[in-house]
Amino acid sequence: MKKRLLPPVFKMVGIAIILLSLIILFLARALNIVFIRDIISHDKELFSQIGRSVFFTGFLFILLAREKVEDEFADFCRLTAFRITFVTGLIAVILNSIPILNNKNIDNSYHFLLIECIFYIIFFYATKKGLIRYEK
Amino acid sequence: MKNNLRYYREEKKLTQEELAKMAGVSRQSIISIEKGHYIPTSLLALKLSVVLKIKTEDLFILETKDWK
Repeated sequence: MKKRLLPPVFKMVGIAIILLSLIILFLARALNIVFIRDIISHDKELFSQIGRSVFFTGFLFILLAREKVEDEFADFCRLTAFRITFVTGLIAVILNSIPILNNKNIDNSYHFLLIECIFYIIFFYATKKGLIRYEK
Repeated sequence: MKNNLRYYREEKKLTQEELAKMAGVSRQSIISIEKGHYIPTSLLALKLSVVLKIKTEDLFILETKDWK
């Protein structure tokens, strides 16, 4: 079956996009860049929405990029990471719905999505490096 | 499942990289199979046995716990 994935270079493109968006946001806050701060203050909501979209586009590129050598083990790592991320996401939603444990930080769907993306990347590389084993 | 991949690879004087290239997989796949972290599909198991010129059942051995 033909895999519909992006070329491996998109992994680096994704990382570059994420770093660039982080650097811009960091510089805007830390160095008080007038031009960027003007844009932020002019339409803060629009700017943050664009920032988030760019940020998640970077993550999407990383998630959908194929490995240099795309084989069944890469598929296995990908599926394991998706499975664990999905289950942890469900657990997080369940725990978040319990009033005592309600965490305001993951009320926002963007925060939740960000955590899920980071979890996916961690689990993917953990599986690849053998930190998560196949257990029958 | 136990496997003798490392033993037969070293017997054939192949590096992990060379075996990976011959079987058309990544070196990481060979490392994971050798360490027992990953059990390959029948397709890859057959490819490895063809590349190493070893019977598949000699390369991958079922253990008692695999029947449970």
